[in-house]
Amino acid sequence: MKKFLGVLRYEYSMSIRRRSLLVIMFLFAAFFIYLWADAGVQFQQREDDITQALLAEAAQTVFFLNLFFPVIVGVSSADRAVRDDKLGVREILRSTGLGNFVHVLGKYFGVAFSMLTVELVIVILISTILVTLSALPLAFVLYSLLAVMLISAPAIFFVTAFSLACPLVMPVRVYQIMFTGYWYWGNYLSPQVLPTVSNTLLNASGRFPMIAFFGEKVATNWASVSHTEAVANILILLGCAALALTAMIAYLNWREKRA
Amino acid sequence: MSRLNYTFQAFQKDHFWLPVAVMGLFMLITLLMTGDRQYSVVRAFLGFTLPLLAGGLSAYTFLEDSALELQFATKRPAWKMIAERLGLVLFVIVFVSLTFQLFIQLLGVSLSPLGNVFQRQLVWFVPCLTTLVLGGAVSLMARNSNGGMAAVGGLWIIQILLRGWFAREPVWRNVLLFYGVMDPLGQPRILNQITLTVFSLLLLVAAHTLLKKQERYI
Amino acid sequence: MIEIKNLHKTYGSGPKAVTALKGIDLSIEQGMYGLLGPNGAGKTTLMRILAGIVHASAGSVWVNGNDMKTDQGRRQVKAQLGYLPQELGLYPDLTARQFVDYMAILKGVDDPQLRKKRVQAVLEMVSLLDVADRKIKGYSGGMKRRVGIAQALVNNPRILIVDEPTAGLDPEERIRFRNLLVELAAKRFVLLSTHIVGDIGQTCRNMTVLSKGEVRYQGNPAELTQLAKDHVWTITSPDGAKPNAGLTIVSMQHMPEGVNYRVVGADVGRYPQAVQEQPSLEDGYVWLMK
Repeated sequence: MKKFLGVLRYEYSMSIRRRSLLVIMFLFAAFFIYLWADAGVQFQQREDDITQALLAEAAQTVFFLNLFFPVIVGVSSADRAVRDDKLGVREILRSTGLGNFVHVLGKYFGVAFSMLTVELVIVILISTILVTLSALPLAFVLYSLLAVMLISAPAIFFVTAFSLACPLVMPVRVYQIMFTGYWYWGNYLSPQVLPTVSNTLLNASGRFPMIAFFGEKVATNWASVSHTEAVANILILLGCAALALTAMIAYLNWREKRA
Repeated sequence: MSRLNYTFQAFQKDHFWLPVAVMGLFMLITLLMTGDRQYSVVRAFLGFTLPLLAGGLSAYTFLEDSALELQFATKRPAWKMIAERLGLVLFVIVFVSLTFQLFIQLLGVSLSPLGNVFQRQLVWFVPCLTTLVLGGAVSLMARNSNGGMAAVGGLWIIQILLRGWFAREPVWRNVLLFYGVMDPLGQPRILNQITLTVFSLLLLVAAHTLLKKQERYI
Repeated sequence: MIEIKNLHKTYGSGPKAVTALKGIDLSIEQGMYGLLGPNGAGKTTLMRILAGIVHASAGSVWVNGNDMKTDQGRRQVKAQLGYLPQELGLYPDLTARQFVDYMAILKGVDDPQLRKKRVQAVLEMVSLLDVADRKIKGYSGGMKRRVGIAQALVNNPRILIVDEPTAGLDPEERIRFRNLLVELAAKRFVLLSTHIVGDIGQTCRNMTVLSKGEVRYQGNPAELTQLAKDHVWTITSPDGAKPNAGLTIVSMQHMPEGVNYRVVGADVGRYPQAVQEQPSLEDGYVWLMK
């Protein structure tokens, strides 16, 4: 456990310290706030059920952030595992007796939590601005955090796992480009345009939990989603992440045996 | 010529095979489609996918050079290095685009909705040029290839998802990478293409200034 | 002639700024010149400034009449430069021949026939001809270092700057390369930066010791050696107890009669059994840095 926490702490601080990526994330978030402000707040018209209206607003805010945030998460996490090879650290780590299972898990949670921290900071910032400017109840900030946990966090855990594993078997840049394309194709593209998984439970955009738990539909033609489907969606994403990590550990073990 | 050949062999092999593989995939999808959907796939490849490939590859073209310090110790000026590296990516993108268009012609899919031969080249070339220079310039600015890729990826996904909003806004549509392919015959596309080209040139100047500060990268 | 006056280099700004060089004055003439100093002394920064890769924060650097402050001056110097960085990066998918050929092209050796000859010659110089057509990714550390040396020599440079060139080389190769540098220095500027004191002693007519960004010594290796005269001793300790503070242990050897310590220091009064020794260059360096 101590080793796991040690790796987690190290990976967390290494991942979150990248100033250039933080600047890019916050620049996109600022643009997002601009867009949101430009669109105008519709909240006042829906005062019949204040809690529901607040939840819906929070869900929509996080869902829109989720349009691009996981792309930056995927791109910036992609070098985290391969850098161990690049910097020659993996050989040293192997000599310490640290197993791949503990190392991969520590790295995974360290990177994922660092990304989640950034998103939480952005969401707190946005929701606080909304609370201040639109005189919304303070509960809106809490609802936004809840929305992050249900809508965005599963995507972050899903994306981080693949971003650590895939670049071990392909060049980082190839993965990053393919991943960016996938994020659009697999989550937002209509199946009428091209065959896609966007309407299946593999959708990682947060659409399923947003509709089921927050009752919010961004587009009127979106089908209703049951609680069971939303839970299944989250579990499938986390299951895929677990599979990717298992494959990663198996690959590292195999590589070590061959070395 | 042998210099380009070495540059290519040294560290940019996937700069060639990734666009070619993606082109192959889109060719296959086009073959599987019929009627208007074939044209949609062509549009998706030329107007939407190629700019992502150009930007993503250029983000890695400068700093992922394992012998960067040795390269800096030669007398070659910064502009030559930029021309060589970005030019190589652009060359591959142009090659892939023209090959794909030739394939589409052979299939008998009409590209006339994208305008005449010259206009339809601008539809993909201008956004590719913009993302190409953006990827390179931001990675130099951030001293990190990931930074360049994050900027290209973030911009691409935001613009593709909010393209409707961008296209409706009279000011913002001028920086929409996909405006040319969305409104290939409309008058506003000219201003859009001029704006994107001016941005590209400004970013090129920025990249040149940044690359001259060699100590930032070693 | 290389003229360095009041050279300062600071990385970053504000409270996190790191000063790597603090007012260096040096005058280097044709031949072999050594730079010695502990890690972080500023040797690599100085080498990079002379190679035109890093810009000075203040002061002036003139190399063969070229002002390193100007783009033009840096380009002129780079045109006559052979450079081997401390952290050498190569292209693993190229063969040694291709890599050296590529570097020759980048350095402006445009004539293909001449280039081919030069590549062949330098690969022979570093004993890599047998494996020249194998990809670099299969090379050992020492072989990669030799590829680095070959690329530095391929344009027949007037100025050769080599940072830790012998790191990773086996003893025979190290001697061969040292001799090669001395041969080359007959008609060139050769700047050698190293931690290996012996390499400087064997090759350089003049040298500088840098410490914490400042010049601690400038002169020839023999004079540096003489600085430690009357301060080098061998102390035999039957019970193995180490000589105490104030003395720097340069080496130790377990013998049947106890442990022999070679020490450098001013006062060995507490050790009547101490035997005075002839200083070496390493002793001189240790005495200087004390």
